[in-house]
Amino acid sequence: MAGDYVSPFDERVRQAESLAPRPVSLAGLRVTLLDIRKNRGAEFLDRIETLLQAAGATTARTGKEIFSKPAALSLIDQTTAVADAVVEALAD
Amino acid sequence: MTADELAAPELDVAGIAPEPVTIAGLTRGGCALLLFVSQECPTSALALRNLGPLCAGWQAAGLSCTAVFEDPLEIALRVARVSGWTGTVVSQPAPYQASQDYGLQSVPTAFLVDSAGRILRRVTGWDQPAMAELIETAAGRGAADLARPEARHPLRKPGCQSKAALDPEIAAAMAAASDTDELEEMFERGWTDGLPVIPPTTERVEAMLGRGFDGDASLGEVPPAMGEATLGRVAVCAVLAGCRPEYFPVVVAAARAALDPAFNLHGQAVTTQPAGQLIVVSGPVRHAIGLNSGMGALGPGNRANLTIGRALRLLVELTGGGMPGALDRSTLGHMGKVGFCVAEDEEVSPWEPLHVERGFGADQSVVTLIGCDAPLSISDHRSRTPEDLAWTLAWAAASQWSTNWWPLREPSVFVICPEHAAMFREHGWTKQRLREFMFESVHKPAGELRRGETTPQVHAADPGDEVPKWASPESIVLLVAGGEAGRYSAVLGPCTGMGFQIVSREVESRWPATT
Amino acid sequence: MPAVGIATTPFADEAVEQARLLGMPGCRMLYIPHPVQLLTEAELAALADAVFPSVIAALTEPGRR
Repeated sequence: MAGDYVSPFDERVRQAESLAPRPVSLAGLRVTLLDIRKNRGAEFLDRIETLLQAAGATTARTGKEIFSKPAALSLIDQTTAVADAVVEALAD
Repeated sequence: MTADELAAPELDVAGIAPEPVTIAGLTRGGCALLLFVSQECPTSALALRNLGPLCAGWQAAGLSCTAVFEDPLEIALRVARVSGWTGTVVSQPAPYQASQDYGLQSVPTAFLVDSAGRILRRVTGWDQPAMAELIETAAGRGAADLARPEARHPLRKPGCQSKAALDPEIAAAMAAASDTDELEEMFERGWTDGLPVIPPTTERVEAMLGRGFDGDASLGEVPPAMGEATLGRVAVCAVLAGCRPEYFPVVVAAARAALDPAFNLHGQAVTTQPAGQLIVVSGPVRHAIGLNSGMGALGPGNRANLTIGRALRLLVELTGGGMPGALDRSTLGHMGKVGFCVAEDEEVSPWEPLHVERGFGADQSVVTLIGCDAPLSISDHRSRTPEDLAWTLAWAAASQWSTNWWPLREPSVFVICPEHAAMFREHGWTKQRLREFMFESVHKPAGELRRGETTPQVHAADPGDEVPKWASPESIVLLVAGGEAGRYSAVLGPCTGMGFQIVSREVESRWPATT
Repeated sequence: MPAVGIATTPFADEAVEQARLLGMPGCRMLYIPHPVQLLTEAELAALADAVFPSVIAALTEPGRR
């Protein structure tokens, strides 16, 4: 009896993905700024967007439907279709 | 010792800063303090607590402070936070190469490294006089005023074996399950919410599933870790919680409701809000399993209420990984997050019960899940009219969520005690009449709400516009429960911004349900 | 694709654990000081300016391991 326990945990371990390859520079690339919809995030991303444009990137803005739910798969698909890189903010 | 033996090896570690950790980087401002620690070591915790508050000052003076943990990074960050360590935190993976390179036998061990990368001092265990000397040495290397660690009891304390120094066979033997105390074993495995649990042996889990529930059937993934809620795992959580097998159909129904995407369990499980999941049980099952809807209905004393609520929470905390202090970021939490299950007193209630309101037949057994915070008590021993009582109840909720957060779109759940319910029965008030009266009672001019946290609607309105507390009467949920004597009702506040809906599920005695 | 997330420092442990659970242990996160809710516009912009070089680095520097 001792030690013969059933675990409450799902023991599957997700295969770790490797980091996506990086471009050498952002000049000329399309960067999407993804707002998770917490308060002040949009303002923060406004500033990052200005700086990205000054660095030569083309920018686009998008966001989650609501801060409290994970991003919809359709949002992720749309974003990967139109962007070369993503900046997501602001979790507080 | 030769110069080579004194050289500080590079650290194979990871922190949260994007730049790699190098000895040169750590000693850029002068010297570096490296404190090797481990989560399981109480002396490490002591060292972190004693030195932690001094780090900010030391770093400003040019002495970098890095705690090197023999634990996963998220554990290291949490231990550091709880201990008050204000310096940098890094983590080394097994087999703890950094600890091996530094020749560690035990943790905590502190090293002082100079800007030439040489180890100047080493302190093993907690040793205040030796740490003071180490800081003295750092100060002598040009760092400005460095505060010394306080000389308070205990001045010295031995540490614990470093994981790098553990013989793998001994480590395996130490990690093996112990025969002698299965309740402590549950704590060691992390299979609890902080309270003792019933060890989920195969026999107990099978007894919980009984003949009606297929242990391999899945209810979906439980956020945020997305662990799969097989009925087997739901049964494990019910066993851990202390449920009897006859409670299991209610637990399964609650899990099905909680995992409905419309409930947004994910948002509730990770928020900084005090979010808990209230399970309201309706219909014949209440009596069949002895749920309490009377005296003490919102508190302890009844096994069915406590263990059913707890089973759902354990599913979220364990299978779902939503453990408070880890992925559950609730700033304060509340005791309802231990488990929160109430049965409505349908017999005493003057009105149709919650499940009938929500479209079920009176004879159906139903669970209804509502995200909410802790009960706010509402005393009213003086009102002699239903209008006065309704007004009192409504205004009690005026500060829910936040004092000036008007209007509230999300539900306020009122639990009306029998004596209060009797007042409404005597005067023939329907639930809808009460709800509308409460809705209409609570409003203020926008101008009076413009202080502190308030809504965009308040800001946009003219100062004289009346703003109600609730967006609509439908935000007011009414339940009846409590002891027959005592005029204390209660109201539970909402989770906001979750986009969540109140979700109900019929209690089934088998799952998958037969068609 | 190259991505970087930005959070405030108290959430680092959650980000680390959640990334591991989702099979993305190397996912790049940057942390700015907490809190941000009560900052002025200028203060918030200053935090964005301060973290921006790390944003570029996170999106352009190759993985280390």
